[in-house]
Amino acid sequence: MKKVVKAFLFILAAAVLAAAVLVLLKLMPGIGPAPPAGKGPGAALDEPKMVDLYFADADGRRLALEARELTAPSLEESIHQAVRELIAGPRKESLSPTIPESVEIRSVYFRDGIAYVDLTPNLSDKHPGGSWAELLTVYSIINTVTENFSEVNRVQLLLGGREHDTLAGHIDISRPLPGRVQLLAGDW
Amino acid sequence: MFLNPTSRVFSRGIFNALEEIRMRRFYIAVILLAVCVALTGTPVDAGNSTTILLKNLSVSGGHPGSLKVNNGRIDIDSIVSVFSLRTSVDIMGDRLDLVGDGGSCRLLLGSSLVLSRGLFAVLTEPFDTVNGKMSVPLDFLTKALPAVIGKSVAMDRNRQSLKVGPGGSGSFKGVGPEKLDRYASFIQRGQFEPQSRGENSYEGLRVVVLDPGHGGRSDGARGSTGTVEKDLVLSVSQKLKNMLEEDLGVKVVLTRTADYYVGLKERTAIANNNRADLFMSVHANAAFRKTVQGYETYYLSFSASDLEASQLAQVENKALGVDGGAGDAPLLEAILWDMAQLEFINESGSFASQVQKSLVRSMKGKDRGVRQAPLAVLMGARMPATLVEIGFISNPSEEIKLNRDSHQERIARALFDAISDYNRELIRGEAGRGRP
Repeated sequence: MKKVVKAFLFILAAAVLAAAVLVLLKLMPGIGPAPPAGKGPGAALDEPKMVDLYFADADGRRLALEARELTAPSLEESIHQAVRELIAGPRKESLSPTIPESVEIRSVYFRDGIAYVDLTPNLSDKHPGGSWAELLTVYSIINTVTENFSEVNRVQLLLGGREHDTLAGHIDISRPLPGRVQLLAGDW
Repeated sequence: MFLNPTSRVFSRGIFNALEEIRMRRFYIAVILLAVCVALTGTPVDAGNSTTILLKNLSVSGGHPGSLKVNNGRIDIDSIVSVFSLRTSVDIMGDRLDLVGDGGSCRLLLGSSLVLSRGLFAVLTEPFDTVNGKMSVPLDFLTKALPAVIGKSVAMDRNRQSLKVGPGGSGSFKGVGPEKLDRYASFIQRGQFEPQSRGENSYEGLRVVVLDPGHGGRSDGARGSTGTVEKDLVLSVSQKLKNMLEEDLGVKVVLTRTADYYVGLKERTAIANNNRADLFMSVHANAAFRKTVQGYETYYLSFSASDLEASQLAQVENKALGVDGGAGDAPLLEAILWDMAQLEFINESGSFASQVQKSLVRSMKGKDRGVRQAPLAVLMGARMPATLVEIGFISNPSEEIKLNRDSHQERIARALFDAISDYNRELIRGEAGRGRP
């Protein structure tokens, strides 16, 4: 009889140990097997991802890059994080922000190659208002999204959940727009 | 030292547009093939055709009357009466729909583009008013009329007679917006010249539309001591209006004359409906950093990918539809609106460069260059069009200057000089030409 109890206790202990290991593996993603490398929307992006944010240069003539590391579980949340970093502004003294600080992200969603970035309407009132400043604002967001997330072909900007012709009266944003990396050189 | 960037910027803009189109060639080829298949199904029945001679002759058969041909153009009135068409003119008076038994087509005043069945055709000359009568070039008869009357139309080699066959449906020799590149290359090579907007195009400017930016609930940029862009640009525009009327003798229309809101498309429509020869939108600049200063002048950029991606897929669905009504194609209309400025892009670039040169020279300011951008207010303008930024209101020292009446007067004079130079070139027949 003693032998049976001993064997039972051994199996119990082994089961508890196995459960503990499993829980540990779940809590510490670095240790366990790598998640499947899915690329589709909603795929896990547990690995930290380096992105290039598109800010403006000090003179407001061109877009300029600054790197950030993102960790977000999905494409939409990664875009959300990248745009939040854009709003927070550049760390380098030599760069200039492109979005007023008080602007907030209402939502980000992705469908059929188009990322919809919905910002609060105070972007219109708080924007300084020049044509080129507005162009840099629009394409700082669009480039940051299209150039860092290959799933995204175009970005539709929304204000307060609605499409608008322009942000501040100049640049056409009425439709989903592709990126313009030429703006890094100050060219349209 | 002023650097003239216009031609470089222009060719790059078109180049980018073309490159974007090339990347979508395959997609386009599939659509074109489908369009061709649809178009080849035109019935031909020569047994019972009506012949119309093109020299004000009476017409027998189903179409009594005569077509008045004058200088290679035909009066719309005579087309309407000979083919018993119905017409409708939109509320702004710059679009004419012709409706017949076979379908309809839409003409835009001052434009060579004709829209029908979800496609557009390019006429050799614009639909326009000549000697008080609306008329179209001869090729309208073969390119667009068949779709309207629902019969085939053939012109003989000597352009003496028109054969109108019976038949259930006439074709529309149109293309989808993917042909933008072909159209653009016409303009680049200078083979297509926008025709006179009246009988005396070489007598210079007659109507200039000035557009003081913003207004009403749209304040525009704000300076740190409270200067508001909408007030400043109205003041400069009014000064410029007076100079142009007194010193150049041209008619000037302002898109707004006080502090009220005017939509961006409405501003362009005011210019189109006034048959303006030149459109200038006057703005004051701003940047995130207060140190930024100087002058910028803009003209419209084209991004073919924008036209295609959002609209072509939907056009594809409509292009093959049996219903010939032009009215079912608001998307094509949007494309026509987008493309309207393309006809004048050479002149716009040339004029923008004159404006920038004049501003930088007389104000001794920092030259931030002539630029192309997708500016909403310039889209749809059917004349050379530019947007000028007359200084940075966000820069405190520029703001102080901009508030001074004498400074505003000098800016208005610099803009006047540019318009005056452009006018001189127009009279000499040089405007927008002679560049690569």
